Amino acid sequence: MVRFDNVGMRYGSGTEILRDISFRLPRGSLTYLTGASGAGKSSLLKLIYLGHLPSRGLIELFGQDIVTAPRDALPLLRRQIGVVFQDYRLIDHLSVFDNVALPLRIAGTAKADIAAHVEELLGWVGLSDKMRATPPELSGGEQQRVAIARAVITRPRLLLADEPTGSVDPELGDRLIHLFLELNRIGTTVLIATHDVAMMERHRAPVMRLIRGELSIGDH
Amino acid sequence: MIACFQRLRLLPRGALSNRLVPAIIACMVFLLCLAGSAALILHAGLAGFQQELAGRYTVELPADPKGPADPATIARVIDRLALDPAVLSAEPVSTGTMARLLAPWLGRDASLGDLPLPTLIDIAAVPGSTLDTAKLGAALQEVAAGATVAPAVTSLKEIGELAFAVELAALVVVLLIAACLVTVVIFATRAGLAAHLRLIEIVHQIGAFDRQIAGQFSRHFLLLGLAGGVLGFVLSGLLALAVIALAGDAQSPFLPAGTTLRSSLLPLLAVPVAVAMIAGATAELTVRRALRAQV
Repeated sequence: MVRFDNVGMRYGSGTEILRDISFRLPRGSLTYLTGASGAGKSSLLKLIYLGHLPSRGLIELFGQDIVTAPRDALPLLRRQIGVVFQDYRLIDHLSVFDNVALPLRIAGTAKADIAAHVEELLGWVGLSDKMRATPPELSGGEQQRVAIARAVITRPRLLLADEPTGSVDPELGDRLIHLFLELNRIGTTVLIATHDVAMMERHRAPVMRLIRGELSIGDH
Repeated sequence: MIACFQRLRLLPRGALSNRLVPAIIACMVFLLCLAGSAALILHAGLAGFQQELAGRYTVELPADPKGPADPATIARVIDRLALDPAVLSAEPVSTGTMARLLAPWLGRDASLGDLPLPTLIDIAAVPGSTLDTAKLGAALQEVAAGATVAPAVTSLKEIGELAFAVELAALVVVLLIAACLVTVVIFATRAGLAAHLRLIEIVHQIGAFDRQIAGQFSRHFLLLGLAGGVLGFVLSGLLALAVIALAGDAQSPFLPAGTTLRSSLLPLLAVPVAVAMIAGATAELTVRRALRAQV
């Protein structure tokens, strides 16, 4: 599903912030990515969701080498990846419904299907009554649920979450993790970048640790 | 597939660029259309003026102390002129017209009766032909001694050159404003886009193709450009029409008819369309460039 071999990454002409990263995420796996602030977790996620190209090494997503893939092939790969950003990255002037529907619209889903899927998912994350609200009218937790709904609306093959429980109370955090576990159970590969040790203890899964740009892999 | 996404109003309605871009474009289109109108009206006026003067000749029968030339002599001259195939028509200039032509020097109420004025006969040549004034003058000597023939305006070539120089100057002004307009449209569009770079990143990340994103922005800025262009065009058009109406009131023989002047402005209709297309194309290119800077 995801394969990294000796990957390095740098911004511009700076020094490498990720070095010799090698790992595999099998199809349907759940994995945690942890490490101190500044260790490179967000940068590693950026490489996986095709927000940046590596400075060296091999990255394969869904069996395709993304370094040599033509530019036109990348959007189709991105559509198979759901990302929950730490800062949500919602579009403030669009309603909750339109934010969540955006990936489906981009993918060309029929209008009737969009309405049905979005309403069902917003019900699932407890935002049925906020469909017409815009992100600035929502609390932080509600915005995060919108971001999660947008990330999973297309049933992505790979789900990346950057500190998904970082700004919500423990109870809501637990509900969100259960949502990820549910998606994982139906075959979605999930990678969660987190500092939340308690959560990792409650829901055991392999852990990748980033220490100053280098990766070590453990059971949990 | 793309249509569903394109129907979504991805760009915020209340964005500052939605007001600034059309306002700036309207100002520039107003100036361009105004300069263009002036150039086109000038061109139409000068063309009409030159057309009016070209092919006009005057026969002058010298002043006689006993009074104006007798009608029989005038009739003989006109009959002789009619024999020339290059002459379309020949009409004696009436006393009233003479008085009007001399009014600036003699005053409106002056009597011409005591003045030894020559008799003038106005000739219109067949369009496209030129009179041989020397040959015709010699022929007229047989019927009216001392008669001379000359073009109505001897310096028509110099007037033509002056008209060309004035039109060229007007064209340069129009081209300069057009260049400014294109530059302003490009900068205004880019400035408007700068506020939406985060939006572009988000949509890009979700999996939109470059052409989908660029299409959204291109359509948005094309409409903004069209709105500004139409506003500027309408304002300048109203002003130009008012000037044409004033020119019509003046009833100057040197200005073409109002309908001619109005129809000469028709090419300016292309300005708002061209401006909208420039804005749309600039947005498309700018967004594509911004996207190429990303993965």
